[in-house]
Amino acid sequence: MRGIFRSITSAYYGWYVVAALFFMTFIAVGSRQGFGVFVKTWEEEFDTSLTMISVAAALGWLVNGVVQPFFGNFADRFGAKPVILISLIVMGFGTIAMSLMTNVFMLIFLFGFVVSFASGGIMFTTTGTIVARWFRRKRGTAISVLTSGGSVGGLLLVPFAAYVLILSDWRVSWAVMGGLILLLGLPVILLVVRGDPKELGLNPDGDDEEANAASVAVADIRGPLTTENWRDSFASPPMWQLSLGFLVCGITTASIAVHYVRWAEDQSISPGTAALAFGLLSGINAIAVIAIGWLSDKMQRKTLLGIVYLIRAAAFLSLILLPGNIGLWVFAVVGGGSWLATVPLTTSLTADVYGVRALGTLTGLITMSHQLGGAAAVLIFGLVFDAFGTYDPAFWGGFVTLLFAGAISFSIRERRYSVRFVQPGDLVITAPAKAD
Amino acid sequence: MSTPLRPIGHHAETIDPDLWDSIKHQIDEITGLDAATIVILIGIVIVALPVAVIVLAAKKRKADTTRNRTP
Repeated sequence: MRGIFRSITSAYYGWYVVAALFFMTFIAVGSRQGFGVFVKTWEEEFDTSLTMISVAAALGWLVNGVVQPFFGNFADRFGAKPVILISLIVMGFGTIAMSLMTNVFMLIFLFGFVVSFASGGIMFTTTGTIVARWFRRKRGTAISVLTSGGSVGGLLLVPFAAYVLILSDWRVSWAVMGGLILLLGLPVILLVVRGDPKELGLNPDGDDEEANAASVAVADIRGPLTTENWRDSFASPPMWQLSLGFLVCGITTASIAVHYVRWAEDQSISPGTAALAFGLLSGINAIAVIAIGWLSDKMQRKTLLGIVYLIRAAAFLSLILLPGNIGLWVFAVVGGGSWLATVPLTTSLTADVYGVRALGTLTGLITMSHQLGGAAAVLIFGLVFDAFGTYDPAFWGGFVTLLFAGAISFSIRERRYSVRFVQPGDLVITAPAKAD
Repeated sequence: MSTPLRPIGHHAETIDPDLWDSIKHQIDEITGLDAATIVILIGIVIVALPVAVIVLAAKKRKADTTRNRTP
């Protein structure tokens, strides 16, 4: 036991930062996912329709996506830690305020705007920026662990909120969730998270000074496209390649997420079986994201990113070509392996190519393309089903866009642009980056 | 057409209410625990996670400080 404790306390401090931000992702994602549990209760209590409640959810989705570049920009300018802190406070009080709602318009305002806006400041745009500063060689692994916090948050906080609802009522559930955000989230951020390893006199990955040539922190090594100004990135192919790939990621995850149950019903699959397949997908997803993040530190990230998109394309194909009850399970297994893996790969690759100084804004812009693509796809998939009476044409569309995303990811010239492959003779050393 | 309340969770989408009903039914069948016990068990995990991170990080910083002071 003492040996385990000693090995934990001898770990690089960056892993404590990852653990703290894992918890932030856990509560930011988990508490928002819990929304669906309360829908039937609100329908009755507010005497409203599912459509009106859907407005709050849909608005929240869009608001959360649109604010990402702004939070990312604030993180680049003022440091990610203050942005996360303020967002956490607003989200905590917003969540508690939801326990006082008396009608659906308050739900639309509080969840659709306030909570979704604030939770945008606790997403990968800001948390990933901090982790990217703490890690360079193990960046993929670290960001994948951070990303898995979302899966674990959904798996634990959704049942937690639901069972609190059974024990008391929905108001207590939201008050408890808000209390958890404030009472547990704030101390973790204040006491554990540091925006940059330099604040503790450390180097990325915990490397000692000798490992960093001429005592220069590796974070200051510049690749050919490293930039301080996010606008510069749009003059180079990788930003477009990564954004287009992530747009397809949004199209194919949001559409499946929203239309999965409807498709299962159309295939005469019971909700119980669909739920079981969903559980399998979530479990595989949480494990796969860490495995792929770890692998991405051993090989070119763009290769893995391309493979992940092609795996998802195969999953889409299974929905079209296989009988419904078999396609459901094949999709859960194959699709689960690719579901979240694009996040650490895309974020790490963006940091490797463009550096960490404008990373918040860049990640925010890429994430926004994901959310907007997703919103459009949800609508288009629905229209296709209404027009043809089947999802097959929409799934074919998803399959083709995933082939495109795979090809465009493979075409990223990572060896040329990524700082991971910069040769010592190519180095340009700059002044130390501003700490958070 | 389906509604935006159907998601199965990629980033932060809300869980589908019908799916949740089925999942809850399966949790109840498999565990056989009452709601209060489940809340307490999950609550312990939720609280233990950040508390452990804070305590271990404090120990880590203290150990590093002691190590740096040692000649």
